[in-house]
Amino acid sequence: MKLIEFGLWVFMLAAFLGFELIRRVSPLLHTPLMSLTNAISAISVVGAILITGEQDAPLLSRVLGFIAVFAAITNLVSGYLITDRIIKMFKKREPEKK
Amino acid sequence: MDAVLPALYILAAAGFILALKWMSSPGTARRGVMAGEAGMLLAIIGTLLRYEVVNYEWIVIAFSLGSAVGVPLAYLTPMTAVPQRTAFSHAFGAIASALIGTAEYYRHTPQGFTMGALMVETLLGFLTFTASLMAFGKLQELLPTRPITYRGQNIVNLSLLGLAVVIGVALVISPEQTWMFSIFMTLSLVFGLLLIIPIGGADMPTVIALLNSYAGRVADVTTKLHPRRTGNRREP
Repeated sequence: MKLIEFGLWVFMLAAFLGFELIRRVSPLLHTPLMSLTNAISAISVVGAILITGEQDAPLLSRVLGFIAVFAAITNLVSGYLITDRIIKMFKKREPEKK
Repeated sequence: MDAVLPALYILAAAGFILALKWMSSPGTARRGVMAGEAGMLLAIIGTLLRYEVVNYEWIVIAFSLGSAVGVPLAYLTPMTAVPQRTAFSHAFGAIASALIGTAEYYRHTPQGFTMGALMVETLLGFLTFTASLMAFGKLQELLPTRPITYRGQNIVNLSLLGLAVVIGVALVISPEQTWMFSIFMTLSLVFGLLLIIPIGGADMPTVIALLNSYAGRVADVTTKLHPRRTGNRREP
């Protein structure tokens, strides 16, 4: 199977998977869901690391990669930490509910 | 080692899927965050261990600086300002993707399908960057929150986007024309800015959700590009 064809299969399945996963999220959790997906989108750090860490990368790509790693890590760290903070608040507020 | 690294990526993807699944109900939401964190950790470890990553100094510095900004951003933001923070952090994610695309373009000047994917990535990355900053400004009330409209706004915006797409297609056809790439970047940045101007502050959360999906698309393209590029080189 060609690589592009394979990629399109993954893309199609992932689209349905994503939709099914968030379809039943309770409206209460929409805010943390948004910051969680925001944090997960920082997966682009993978690409940034590859560019920055290359052996013979010219200065331009090294600098661009550096800024990209910095930005993605900021997004990642703050995204996960604040999601956690929001979730903790839910627990404190309604401990007797469960 | 080469067999272990793909496994780390697959586990990372599973972690993200579980993160979203567990986020559906308050009881399991905490576990969801942990699954997401574990997934991200695996992906980063898997990348750092790759044989083509040899220069760690810049990466370590960027990691420390990013955490130095990210941690206070997460803990000092008042709970009422969470939507703004998401928008702001989103701008960071978007610029990261856009810069990856830019670096990749100047370094390797890819051809054909890869170049097309790279153009989509860069366009969405840059426009999401300025659009997210605008959304942040409006939510934080640094900018006027009322919608700003003028005559012919849609025509201006659409022609800007149209022009960016035309240049993008031209670059896919002849990727060596580097001068067009700067124009393409500028157009994407300006389009993101103009896109948010006519939208009122109250609609911003919806806009952020939409921008979020753009960045997701971008991340998808980015990560698809890289393993393939390096993979091709490894196996002649």
